[in-house]
Amino acid sequence: MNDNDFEKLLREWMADRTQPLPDELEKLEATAQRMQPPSRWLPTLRLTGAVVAAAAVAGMAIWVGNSLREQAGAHTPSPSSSSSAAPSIEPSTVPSDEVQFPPTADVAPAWSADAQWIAFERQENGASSIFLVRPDGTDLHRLSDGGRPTWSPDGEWIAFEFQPPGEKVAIFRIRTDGSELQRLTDGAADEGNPAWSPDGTTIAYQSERSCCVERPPAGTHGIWLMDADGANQRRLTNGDGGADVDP
Amino acid sequence: MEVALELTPVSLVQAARDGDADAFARLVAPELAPALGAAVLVIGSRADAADAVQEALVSAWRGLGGLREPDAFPAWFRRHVVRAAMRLAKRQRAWQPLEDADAAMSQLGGLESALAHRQLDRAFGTLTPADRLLLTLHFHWNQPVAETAATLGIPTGTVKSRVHHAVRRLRAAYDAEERA
Repeated sequence: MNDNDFEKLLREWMADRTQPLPDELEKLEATAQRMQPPSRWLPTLRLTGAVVAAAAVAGMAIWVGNSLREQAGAHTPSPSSSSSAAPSIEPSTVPSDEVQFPPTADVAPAWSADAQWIAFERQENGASSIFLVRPDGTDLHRLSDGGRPTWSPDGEWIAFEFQPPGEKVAIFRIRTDGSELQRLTDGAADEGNPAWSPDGTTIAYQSERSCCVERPPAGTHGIWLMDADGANQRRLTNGDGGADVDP
Repeated sequence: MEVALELTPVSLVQAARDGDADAFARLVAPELAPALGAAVLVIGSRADAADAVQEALVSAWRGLGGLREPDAFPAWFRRHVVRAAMRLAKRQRAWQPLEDADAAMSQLGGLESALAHRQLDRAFGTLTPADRLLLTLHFHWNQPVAETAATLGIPTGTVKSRVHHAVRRLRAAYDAEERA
């Protein structure tokens, strides 16, 4: 059998192997139709006004978001409000019982390299999530659980830290379109605060892994490096009796 | 008067983001058969393949806010399917070979074809999940090289050589099945 015939056989076998059984697709369709909105589904808020533009340029977009949400709790937007001192808010059409106001805190903003997005950590009810928002306040959406987001230089990934239930804090990365969530560190020790190298190939991070036998076994932070996909993890500093943090 | 939902990717994605499960179901409907098929090829178990697609549906539903271009929904959803399928494939459960030779024979017209399919089925099951995925993207989904590269996070220039080597490994396994 020549190569072309083998590839033809392969395609035929694949078509045969993948024929769905009678009820398989119906079950999956039913699953899709029964999806429920997440409990903390957020509306898209459209922020207007000169204050927002100035705050966004100054890197204070997160501050603006908090203050405006606090106002939104008691403010009914109207077409005539555009000339008032406070920026107006136009919530998208989402059932009111889905709206969660106000958040506990929005912290750790991080600009994408192309300045098209700001990632930040939203802390609410004891949990942290990573959100993305445009500098003008539009297109606010949740990306993932976790905190301390940091952008890859090419804007394709966000690295962040997250503590799975019952485990140590670990470093993850996720594509900015929400796909390909990957765990980068294995949870042997608390590890976090990722920082990308300018060429996007390496991530520096802080780790509580014990550096060597003669050091105290826990609590000493060191700076470690790993490849952007989590491979080749190696220690850069050992804290030298103190703590090396915030790479 | 109820306004009908406009059936464009932009409107369906926006409606799904707003919590409209029917809109989400419309978005995914044309993707379910290819998704399930790919998961079957990567994982080798129909039950696990269905689980993988279910997982992809949930992760896509939750991650809709991260979809920048509504027109890119099919490719974006397929990445969720790939991720879920690979996660389950790495559980290293045994490959479940094609059992129904009668169905194969009736569709393919003969014992020889059915035997070739069963041998190829067993050979495919000896491949790594990564090889199975690569061959699935290339030969079953017929993805362009650039899209396969994007899905796998590998350089475009290496896709064809990787496919070539994966086919060679499959062929060697198939030839071994023939000799057995």
